Amino acid sequence: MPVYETRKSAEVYGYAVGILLAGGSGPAALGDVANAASFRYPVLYRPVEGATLARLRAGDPELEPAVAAAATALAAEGVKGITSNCSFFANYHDAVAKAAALPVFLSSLAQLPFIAASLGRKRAIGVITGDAAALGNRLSSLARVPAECELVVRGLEGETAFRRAILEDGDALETSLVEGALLGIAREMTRDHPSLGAFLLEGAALPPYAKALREASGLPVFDFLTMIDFHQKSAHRAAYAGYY
Amino acid sequence: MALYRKEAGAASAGQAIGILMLDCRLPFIPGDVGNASSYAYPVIYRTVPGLSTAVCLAGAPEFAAAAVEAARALAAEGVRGISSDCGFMLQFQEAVREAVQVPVCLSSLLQLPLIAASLAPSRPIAVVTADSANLTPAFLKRNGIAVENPILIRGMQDKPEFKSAVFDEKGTLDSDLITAETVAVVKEVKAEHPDLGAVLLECSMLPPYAKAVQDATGVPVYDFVTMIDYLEAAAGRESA
Repeated sequence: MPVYETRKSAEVYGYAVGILLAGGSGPAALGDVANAASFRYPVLYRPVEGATLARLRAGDPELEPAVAAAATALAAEGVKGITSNCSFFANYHDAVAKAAALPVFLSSLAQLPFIAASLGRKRAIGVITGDAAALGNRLSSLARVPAECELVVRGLEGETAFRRAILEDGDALETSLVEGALLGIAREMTRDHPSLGAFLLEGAALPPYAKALREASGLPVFDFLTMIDFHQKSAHRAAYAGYY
Repeated sequence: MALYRKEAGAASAGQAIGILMLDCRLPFIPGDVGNASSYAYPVIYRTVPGLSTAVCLAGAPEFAAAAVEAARALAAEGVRGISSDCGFMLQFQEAVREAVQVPVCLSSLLQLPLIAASLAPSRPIAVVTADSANLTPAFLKRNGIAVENPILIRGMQDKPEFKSAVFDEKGTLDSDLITAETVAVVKEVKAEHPDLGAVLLECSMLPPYAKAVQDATGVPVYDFVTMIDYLEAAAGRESA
């Protein structure tokens, strides 16, 4: 591509993925979707005005214009795909897909059909979320989960270190405490459900613990980053250089 | 982790992904599923004896047991996930996923729900396959793949270089010619459907041309390697 055209709507260039941000989700550790160093490519953030967890969860229709406007702004900067740091943005999937004619992958839960297809039918998927009560029965409306797939959902809302930092938008996050708590919950899940075949860390603040969970459980661990990396790669295909 | 234990049945260690292979001899160039340097992590291969390209594409339920046996051998080597070098091995997905403990993604077509979920339902997805006579909507449905988006299936079987290299196994492969053939196919689809949302290269011999396809269409391009990389990211031992 030797001739480059000015993109009049863009201030700068080279952002691979645009990320819609919900308000008030605490410190973003390395690995968190809201931490730019979690990615091996540049990402562009756009806070969505008024996007509180409660409104996103309810799919408040009055929030839709602000979500669409943020998506339009990201598309105008030239991003090749749009994601978010809160799975409840999936309530606005159609509005975002309409505002930006780009791949839109707002919720880590979109990975569930693929994960289910890769496992034996009697294997369950363990979903670890920030707040199980908040996720509640909304799973099926946020992702097309195959009817026969057993999901075991557990939340971190009862874990003090996580609740204070992330759910209550605290000033400090001690990741070693959260990691210990998450691994404890995962151990209970595998103990109670020996058929567990994979984990999905639903929350955008949970990828920092994926490696420890994978090593502790021996199971595949999907999270927001596995999904974002997957779509990013497809939007930026490179030439192969290898051996023959 | 300082204490390592021997894994019974493994000739070596550290293999991330195991790949079932058709029984054929073709030039697997860099980018091809059958070329180990297409990946940033180690993979190990296992041929399903007797399962030729033609047999697999036509449908071969009698080979399910052999596919399971090969997958079990890969699992014994300690792989963290299992894939294959033919999208039509989707027909063995059920049998193999029930037979091993690790995640199994035998066909690039398994990505369709992920791709569809990222697009507005009205936007078509082009599937470029080795042979569109066999990859039919009925084949997808029979194997549990259903998405809302229109699926545009296009085959490479009539393209002279692809056909002679892959189906006739002439012993050479001119990647410049196949680049041109593949680009012609997707340009035609894009011209017919300007709202094309994504391309999925079904055939394991097409990832080398993903960049050319993307340059020609401007849409995301998924293939076997994007799926195997995704599987490795979730299941691999060392990924962060």
